[in-house]
Amino acid sequence: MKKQIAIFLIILFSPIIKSLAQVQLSGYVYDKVENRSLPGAKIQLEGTILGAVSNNDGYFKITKIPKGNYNLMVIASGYETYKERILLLSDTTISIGLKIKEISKPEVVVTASRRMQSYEDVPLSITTIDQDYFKGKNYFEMKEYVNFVSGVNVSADNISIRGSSGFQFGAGSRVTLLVDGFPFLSGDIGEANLNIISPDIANRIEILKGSGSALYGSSAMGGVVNLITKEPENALTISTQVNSGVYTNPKYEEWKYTDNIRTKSNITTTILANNSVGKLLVNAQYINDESYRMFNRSNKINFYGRYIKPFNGGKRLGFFAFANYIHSDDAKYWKGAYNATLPQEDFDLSRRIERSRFAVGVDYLSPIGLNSFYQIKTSLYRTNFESNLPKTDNNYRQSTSYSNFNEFQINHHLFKNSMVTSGITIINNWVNSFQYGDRKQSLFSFFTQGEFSILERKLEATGGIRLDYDVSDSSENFFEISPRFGLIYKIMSGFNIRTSVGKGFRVATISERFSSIRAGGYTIEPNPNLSPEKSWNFELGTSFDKEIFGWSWFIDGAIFYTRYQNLIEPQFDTNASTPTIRFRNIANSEIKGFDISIRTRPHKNFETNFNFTYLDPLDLNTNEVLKFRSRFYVTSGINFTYENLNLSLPYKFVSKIVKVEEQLRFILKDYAVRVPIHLLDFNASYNFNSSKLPLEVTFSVQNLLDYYYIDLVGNLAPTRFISLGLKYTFQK
Amino acid sequence: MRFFTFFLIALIFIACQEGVSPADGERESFVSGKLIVISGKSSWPSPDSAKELRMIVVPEYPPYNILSDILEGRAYLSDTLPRFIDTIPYRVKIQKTPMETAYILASLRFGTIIQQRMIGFYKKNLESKIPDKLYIDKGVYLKDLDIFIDFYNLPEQQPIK
Repeated sequence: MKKQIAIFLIILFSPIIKSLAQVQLSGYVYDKVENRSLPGAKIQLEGTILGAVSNNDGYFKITKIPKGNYNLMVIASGYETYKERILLLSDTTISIGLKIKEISKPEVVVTASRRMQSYEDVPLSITTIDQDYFKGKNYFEMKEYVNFVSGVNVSADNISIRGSSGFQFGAGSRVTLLVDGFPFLSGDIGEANLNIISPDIANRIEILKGSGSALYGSSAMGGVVNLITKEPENALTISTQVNSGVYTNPKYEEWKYTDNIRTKSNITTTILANNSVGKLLVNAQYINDESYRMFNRSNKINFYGRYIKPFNGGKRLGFFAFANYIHSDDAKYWKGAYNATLPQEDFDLSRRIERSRFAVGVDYLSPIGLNSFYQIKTSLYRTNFESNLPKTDNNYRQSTSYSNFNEFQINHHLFKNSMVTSGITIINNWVNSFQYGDRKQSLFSFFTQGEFSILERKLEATGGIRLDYDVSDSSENFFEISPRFGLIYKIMSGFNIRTSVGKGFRVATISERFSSIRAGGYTIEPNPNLSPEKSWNFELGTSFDKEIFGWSWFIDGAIFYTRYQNLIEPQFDTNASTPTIRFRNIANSEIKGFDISIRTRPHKNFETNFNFTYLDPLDLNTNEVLKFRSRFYVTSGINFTYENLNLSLPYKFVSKIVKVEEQLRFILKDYAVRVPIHLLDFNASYNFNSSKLPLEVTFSVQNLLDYYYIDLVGNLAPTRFISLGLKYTFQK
Repeated sequence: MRFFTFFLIALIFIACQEGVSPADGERESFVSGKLIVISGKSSWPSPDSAKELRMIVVPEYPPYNILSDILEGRAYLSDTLPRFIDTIPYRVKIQKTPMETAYILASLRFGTIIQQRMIGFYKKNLESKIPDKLYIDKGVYLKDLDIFIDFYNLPEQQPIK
């Protein structure tokens, strides 16, 4: 009887006994080659909320760890991610030596499962752009970085991943843009504009290829671009950079419209602070662009601020504020290929447009016990644009939109080697617009995704579902179910195969439903009865990360198939008496293809990469190729690093757009002129850090060969641009 | 080393690519707009009297000899346009530019090729009795040149030769 009582008491008080049996893990993180301490490294016990960041001496300490087996993961920028299975039975001190990353490759991602996880555990195609990629480039705008990612094309302000989007007249992005998990999609036109964010705030950018609707809902059917902002590592870092450059004169006399030098300049200041009060990131950017085209000038201001207050027990509260203001000429298309640098014939030379965007948000993360946490996010995103024309003018544009995002997410370990991510999201959009009217739209969503590791973590399975309900005040309501399944099998360390299948959808934006515009010889008419577009996406891929013959290789490839239903595309009404565009659900289409990405380092100073994407986009109604899509995408590049000198030659090829909309002839001269894209840049940078002068000098030539191509339709893409930059960094 | 050789060859290949040039553009100019039948769809003459509708851009008004002007490339014809509706978009290609003086006329054939009736012309002032003179520069696309047609009040007919 006494024995039974003792067992009962042990079971009853086991949590207390367990808590008494807690240990701590401490140690140092250092550079294995140079044998110096590494501050700012993240030390995480995988699958728990337990973790720490190394201090200036590389020291870290994680306390209150229940005894047991853990997967230790250490992440530091520019270094290979360190992983080790560790048994903690008593207080332990370890030293962790990190190896400098041989080649640029993804290490950890957060986009695939809404939590930090190792890249090799993700059953989806994800490309990351990290600090190695940003280094030494003199680009002012985010688009210029993302444009060199394989299978991604950024035309005007439209992001297309694996051919997901064509020419949309600026409405309805099929790619979701997130900043630290907060959506940056306007409430009226559903715009995902990369160029409103300064590249200097980015720690890394994750690009999920293929449908992400199972976790991110509407607008993620083509993919997700998630920008993860920098977190301060040192007490104080202030950097200021000034960049300025000139567009060279075009080769053709017909395109020279001025004798003046046309410049583009940028000034950016970023402050990163980390102290007992919290972590702060503040960035301000100003860009003045005189453009390579007439009446295409712009002035832009970007601001981003983020403050994170960590509390005891792993809790943290975060705030962000964002602002963007653009004042620009409002020329939409060229006069023609003969006058490619001049605006359309009937362009009113005084026509300007002001755009502003503001956002604020709060997020709160709190652990629940050892292995689970919940997170609450809320934000408000306001966008506004207005042209300077009288309201009676056909070209007058005005729209103000608010998008309120609310989310509750919980990550919970159901049992060993499993993680369940669930949550609810509510998005409310309000629009007050001259051309779209006064509209309201709400999206209510529930999502859940489970990840399970079996066969000693060799096989990872993912399954999830998302339910969305779209309520609009002026059109039908819709209910969508989006499931996703994925598997990844690790054949050996650094070599795996993966497969996934998932559904995506996108609810028509307010602009697609209610646009009522008459301008430039054409009319856009509303279509309130647009149904959501849907897709099924299948992918089979593999990833290889090994050293062969003394070279480090990273190879990632995938074949994919996406079937679209009710795709929303602008369609010309051929029966109408005037050129009339309506957004319509075209019945079925498909995009199949494959991509491969190879990175290697043939020499300690050289890194090369080659990425190829093939697409076969087919309109199943007409059995013809989908309009405004290309078939081949190639990106390639060489990086050379010698001590503090960094040289890079990135190159991009996109084959000619196969088919365009013939009805554009009523709107635009030389609408059908199109060529392949060949874009070659040259970047050089020298960092004086070694001489104790915290200065970096960068020099870039964008479009080195001064090759002329079209930015989608009726727009000459940027000509050659030569720029110089200086970046001064103060660190304490 | 092989990779760099390949890369260099690729660069030379790219450098030889021309891309877009002014020569890709249509050297011709265009005028476009709509014919708006203000007298309504029902006012159209019977099909026997409205056999073919075209726009004509002529260098002088009244036109002196349209057939000769067309044959010699001084006047330009549109494709045949739809009839019996109230709004008809049109587009005329002007091949030789600049065209110092141009008048845009809408012509309805009621019989043989020379049996044409002028049913409207482009003018900014709706009260005007004569068409407006336009200057068409090379490589331009003049849009929204709308012409109002009233079958109950057709313009004074000029001899179309």
